[in-house]
Amino acid sequence: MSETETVGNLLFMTAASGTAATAQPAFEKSPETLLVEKVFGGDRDAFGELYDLYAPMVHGILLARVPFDDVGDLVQDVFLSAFKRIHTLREAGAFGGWLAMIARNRAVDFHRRKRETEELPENLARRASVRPEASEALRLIRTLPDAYKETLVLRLVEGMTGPEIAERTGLTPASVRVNLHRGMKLLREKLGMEKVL
Amino acid sequence: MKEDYLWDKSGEVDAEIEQLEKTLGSLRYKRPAEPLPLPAASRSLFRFNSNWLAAAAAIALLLLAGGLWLGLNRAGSDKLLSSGPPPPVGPVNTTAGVSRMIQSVRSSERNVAPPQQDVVIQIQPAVNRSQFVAVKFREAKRERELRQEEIMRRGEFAKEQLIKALEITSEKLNVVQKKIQGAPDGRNPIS
Repeated sequence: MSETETVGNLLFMTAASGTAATAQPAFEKSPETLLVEKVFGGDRDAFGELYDLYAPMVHGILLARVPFDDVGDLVQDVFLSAFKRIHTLREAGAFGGWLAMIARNRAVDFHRRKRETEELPENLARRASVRPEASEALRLIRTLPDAYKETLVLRLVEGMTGPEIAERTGLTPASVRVNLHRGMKLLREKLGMEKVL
Repeated sequence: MKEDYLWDKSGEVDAEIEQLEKTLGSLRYKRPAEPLPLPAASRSLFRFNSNWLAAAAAIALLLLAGGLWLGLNRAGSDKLLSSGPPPPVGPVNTTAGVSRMIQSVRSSERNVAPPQQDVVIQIQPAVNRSQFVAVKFREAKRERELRQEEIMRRGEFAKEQLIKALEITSEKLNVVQKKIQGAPDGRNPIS
């Protein structure tokens, strides 16, 4: 075999392996995606598994926006809404981002209805069920911009890691990393000023 | 590194973050004892599919184009038919009318009738009504044939246009389908 042929074959093999390496992730489906596809087929148990997997994320997203005592009911509302509207989801792999968007919209809807019905003040229920330090720390986190407070709640309250947050919410790991660090910096400044802990 | 601890809980532990985790951990999600009460049935069988939507849009587009083409073609043929000469009414007695008629017969029968007929008409100046009607009938027949040819020609042209439109639509559909298949996941969810 001549030297030219050898180099040519090597280049071909390199290109082929490179293509395989880049193409493989596109065809691999995550367990979550497979579960969503089962739900598309009418599998109710699969939706129960999705509920277990994604409930902490939905809880965190809601907790960043609505009072703690209302979060539990709203989590169920979000999943029921998702189950009814699952036929509107185009890509099974986009389930996390789609569900997160439903949760955010549900939080907005909650505040709109609250204004209309004039419910009792939030402090009344919160005092009874949440430790004061936790309540105060959460209050400070809620003063941060949306992107930061949501990521920080998922990390500090729900105990999810950065890669897990990215995987569940559909955000890029780089975005989550930036949100975590900038959010934490702002939170430290606020904690330093108010000396809560 | 302390930054790694914030990112994935690895590396050196950040005391402040650890303290926050302990404090806020009391608010963490707790799995309810009862399972999620799901409604009786979901509409999974009628799941939205963008491919079906694209196909339906293409069919609607084709029907619209076909209807438009048929409407235009029909309007064109009606116009052609209505623009023909009016039929003769009443007897023709004047000499000028007869000579004009003889000229018309000559010009119209040059292609279809034998030359003897031309002579017959020339030597018979008094043309009666039945001959006039026969000549006019042939003339009208010839015009009708020409109109038919024109309609056929237009039809062929419209057919070519429709085939081109179908090819363009097909290409557009392919592009749409490729875009749908190549769309990134999870970046633009529907709520």
